[in-house]
Amino acid sequence: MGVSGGVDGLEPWKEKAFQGLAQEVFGWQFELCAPYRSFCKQRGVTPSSVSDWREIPAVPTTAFKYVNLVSTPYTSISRKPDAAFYTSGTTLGSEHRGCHFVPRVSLYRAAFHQPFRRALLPDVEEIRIISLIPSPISAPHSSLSWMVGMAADAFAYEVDWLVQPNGEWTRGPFDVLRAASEEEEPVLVLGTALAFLHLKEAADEPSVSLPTGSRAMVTGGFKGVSRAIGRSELYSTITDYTGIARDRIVNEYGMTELLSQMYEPVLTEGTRAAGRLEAPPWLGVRVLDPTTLEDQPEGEQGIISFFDLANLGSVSHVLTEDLGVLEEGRLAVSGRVPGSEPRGCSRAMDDLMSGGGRL
Amino acid sequence: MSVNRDAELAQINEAKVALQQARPAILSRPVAEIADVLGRVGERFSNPDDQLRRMALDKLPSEAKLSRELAEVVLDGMAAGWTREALSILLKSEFSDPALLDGLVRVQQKGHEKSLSVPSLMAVGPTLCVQVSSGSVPGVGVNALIRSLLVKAPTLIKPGAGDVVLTQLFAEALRDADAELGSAVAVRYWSGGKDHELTKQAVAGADAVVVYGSDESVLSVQGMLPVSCRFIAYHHRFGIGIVGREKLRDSMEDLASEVARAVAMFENRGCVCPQVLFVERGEDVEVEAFAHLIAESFERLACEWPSHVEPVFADRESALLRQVRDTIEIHQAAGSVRMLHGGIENWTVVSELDLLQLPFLPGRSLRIRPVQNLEDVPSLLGESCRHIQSVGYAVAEDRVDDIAVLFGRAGASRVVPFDAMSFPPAWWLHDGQGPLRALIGWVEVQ
Repeated sequence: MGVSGGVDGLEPWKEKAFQGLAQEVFGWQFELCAPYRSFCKQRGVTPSSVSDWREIPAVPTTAFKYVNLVSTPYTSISRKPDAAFYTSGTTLGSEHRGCHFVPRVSLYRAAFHQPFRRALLPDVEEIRIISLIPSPISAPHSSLSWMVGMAADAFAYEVDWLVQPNGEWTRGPFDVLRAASEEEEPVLVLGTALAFLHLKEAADEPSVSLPTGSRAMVTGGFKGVSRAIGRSELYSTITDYTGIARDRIVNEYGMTELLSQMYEPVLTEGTRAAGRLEAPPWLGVRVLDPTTLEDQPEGEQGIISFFDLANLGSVSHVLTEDLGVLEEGRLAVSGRVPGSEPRGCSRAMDDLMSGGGRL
Repeated sequence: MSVNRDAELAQINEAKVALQQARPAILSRPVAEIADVLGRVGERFSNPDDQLRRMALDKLPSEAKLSRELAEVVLDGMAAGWTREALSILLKSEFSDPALLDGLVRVQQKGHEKSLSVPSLMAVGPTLCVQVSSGSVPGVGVNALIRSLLVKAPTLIKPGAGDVVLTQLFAEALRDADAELGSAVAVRYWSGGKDHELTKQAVAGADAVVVYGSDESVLSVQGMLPVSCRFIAYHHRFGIGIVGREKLRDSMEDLASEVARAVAMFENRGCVCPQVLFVERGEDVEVEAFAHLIAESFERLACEWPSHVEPVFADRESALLRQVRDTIEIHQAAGSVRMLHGGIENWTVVSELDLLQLPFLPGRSLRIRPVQNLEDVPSLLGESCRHIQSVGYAVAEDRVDDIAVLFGRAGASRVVPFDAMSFPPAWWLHDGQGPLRALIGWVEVQ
């Protein structure tokens, strides 16, 4: 369970409170999501048999690519979902992109609001946002774009959308950054790790220094791209090209399959919080033994799983493919090792199926 | 540009200059003699008492991510194609008279008795061949190197990340056996996926370039070449298996074992491994029972040929396997598939009852799809047939030719019994091309 403080609605919940809601949510999803119900029954789990939320079967994130996991009393004809978020495409092609149907985005908005404020805007009410993430209008199926859109609606007095969905700039990014650096008001720069790398490539001279109090949010990794750099190199790049110091760069961890997010609370706790993600109280976080799926002892690496109460409209208990370590309620995500999997000379069957086969 | 990078570029350039200087000497050597030297070196990898084989087996497991047991089997299988006998057959399969590689040969043309001239022919290999390989299937680099030298082409080769040891050991042993031939080969490794600059530098000036790799790698290298350069691509393909109903009426244990071995060899990473098995339905055919027998074979193989596990990646591999199996379990709960798996062992067998798209199964995995008739398989696969290389088969003898014609016309280039699927002979038509003829050009004197 995440540990939070303050009086912003993010205070830690009692285990019993989370337990009760988790069981209620499970009952809802068991009733309304037929594939999930069959899966749970096959594992011998029903709402009446569960005494602990950890016993509720978790679906793998991969399942979002292949199974329609929606928990809503409405049919798609009687009431369409508010949004459908797709994972970013890789070599698998669009047919194999994960899909998260969101019956009601109001819950997404509610889950987003306070954790974002606490992590990124603990000291100001409003801020100018410079987004290296495409706008939700241009990328309506990106949960990340929606998230930045919600941030813009709630907290920005001015927004610059600098990136198109195809990765191209809407205008010269350094023209905007340089203009912002000549103002007095701090700005918030939002981007994926890859977007910040692109920013470096677009630099004509590394001299922009954004106003005091500026901050950056960086999210995502390098999945599906051929380049990868280490975290410290990435943060140095952000500092070099925007002037935002390491203790003003907040890492966000989220995924299409979850409607809640986690952040490094460096703005409130300083760099000692770097690399340690904080979850909101409605997001249960576990690290599991890769073989037994039992909870790992504190400090030991395992597979990360989440129980996200905000995922009411799909499935809340989600098993990721990421590895991490839990310490004092904070999550450290282990870096991916590019190219670690042995590769041969065979193509993958599912890669081919998008090419016209109907296997 | 870094100092290291400059040094690497300089090394590649120096190697290419030296290779081109080595060409006159190998051109003057009879091809039979070259094949003999290559075969003698290749045979050392099959000799249990030879230090070369022992060195290879010491390093192969960690490099190619194969267990010691499986590495031995793979080395035996690959080295069977590197013997003097195998190379002699290869030459004769590719050229009516291998002396065509040594100089002009007069050719009698039937049906042209009235022709005033009797043409002479000669096969000419590239002046500089650059071979860019990838992946972790060991032995591909040695095959590539042998093919180049048999057509007398000085060769710079970049092996795959999991194939450096064998390629280097072969090249070193060749230098010891025959300095002149050895000087016509240079082995350099760099990360082809990341370091395009080195690849670009390596292929510059070559008049033949061979690329083994993904579609992306092949296209990337092709884009670096002038039109005058001969370009040969062995892009990634996949294997399938087909089983006729007539083969499932009697004892199925042996067949199940052959299928499981074909999957497990190369840890299912090879284009010669069947990834999906099409099994023909019949009244008295129990596809599910066959799936269980294959699962039992995998279980036995887990002891005989254990998988290689890098401790540092064990958690990552477990997490990926868990993702896929749990996803399939959701389909299983809906009644559309049946899954058998080895728990902590990495084998998985999935019998599909419905038309589904499933995630890629890592490890030793096989999808089994019952079909009404094997003849329906090409239309089921659609355009994917163009990516098929090998079709492993178990059908009645009188069906083999018809099936081969059907799959061949759909795109497959090799139709082969399961027990011979893993190791094509040296003289096979690799992806439908003669492995030596693909490298040479013809000169005719009229």
